[in-house]
Amino acid sequence: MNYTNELLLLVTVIVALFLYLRRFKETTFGFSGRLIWYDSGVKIQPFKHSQYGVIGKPDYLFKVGWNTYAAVEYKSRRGPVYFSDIVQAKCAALAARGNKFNISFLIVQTEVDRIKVDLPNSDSALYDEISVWVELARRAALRDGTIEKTSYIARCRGCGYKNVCQ
Amino acid sequence: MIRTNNRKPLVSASEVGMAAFCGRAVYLKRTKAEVSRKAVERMSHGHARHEDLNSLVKNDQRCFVASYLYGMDDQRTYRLRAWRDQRLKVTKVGRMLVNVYYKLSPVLVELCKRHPKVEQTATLILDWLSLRIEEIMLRKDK
Repeated sequence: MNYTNELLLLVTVIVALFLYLRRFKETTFGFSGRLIWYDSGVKIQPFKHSQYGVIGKPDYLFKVGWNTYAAVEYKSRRGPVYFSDIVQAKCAALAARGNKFNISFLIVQTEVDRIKVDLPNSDSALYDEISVWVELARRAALRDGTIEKTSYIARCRGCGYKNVCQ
Repeated sequence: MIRTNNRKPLVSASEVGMAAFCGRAVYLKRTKAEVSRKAVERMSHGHARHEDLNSLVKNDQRCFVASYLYGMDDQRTYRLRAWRDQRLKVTKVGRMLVNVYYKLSPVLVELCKRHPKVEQTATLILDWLSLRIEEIMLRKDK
């Protein structure tokens, strides 16, 4: 007996079911995607981009298209997204790109605010956007005591090191 | 300190973000300066919120029925989640049950949306289960 038609039908059903189960759904962060990775604690190894010497973990990575991903950085504060949050998220995205995750955009979210940031296609362009802060962090990592505190006094108020600072 | 091949120290994304906030703070962090108690409390609150969001995001993928019936932040939902993580997920049979439940839950949620009777019945069952879990937890605390 020839079961070719039945077999084709079965394969079609299985493929349709597979595609249906793997479709992108609406996420908590206002875009469609599928969660593929999340930072569940200190035991999770960070991503590393050896060329630029940065490591980092976005809070969540979602697949949003064919070989394209979105990274989410969540801050638990009840306040706006700060520039430093975006810099941190960009650096974590650069580190994830070192592990072949082609991050195309970022979501930075607080309890009351959410910002979407589109990223440049090349890693070097992304690095250029944050290079000033990476170099400053590197100087600090080399224990450069000449690094001055910020000139924005308001930032000192919320800083955890204000008691031991200059 | 971790170093790259070209003798440059690796820097983490959180340090780079901190540098955009204040470079001196990164230096103080690297020299292991004392952090204020308030900042430690803030960090601990942040970790707790991250864990909450982790379970929320994961559950979102699987349409948890309790989240649909009670809401994401309801005490009963928290209780059921805690029961799932602390009691069910620690045994093999429990993990199997959780997996089966995750497969069925989208259908259950859909049924609840379409048929109020099913929603009422599911709410009754979950109310009973939530109460039983509370009783068990209270007994365990004593």
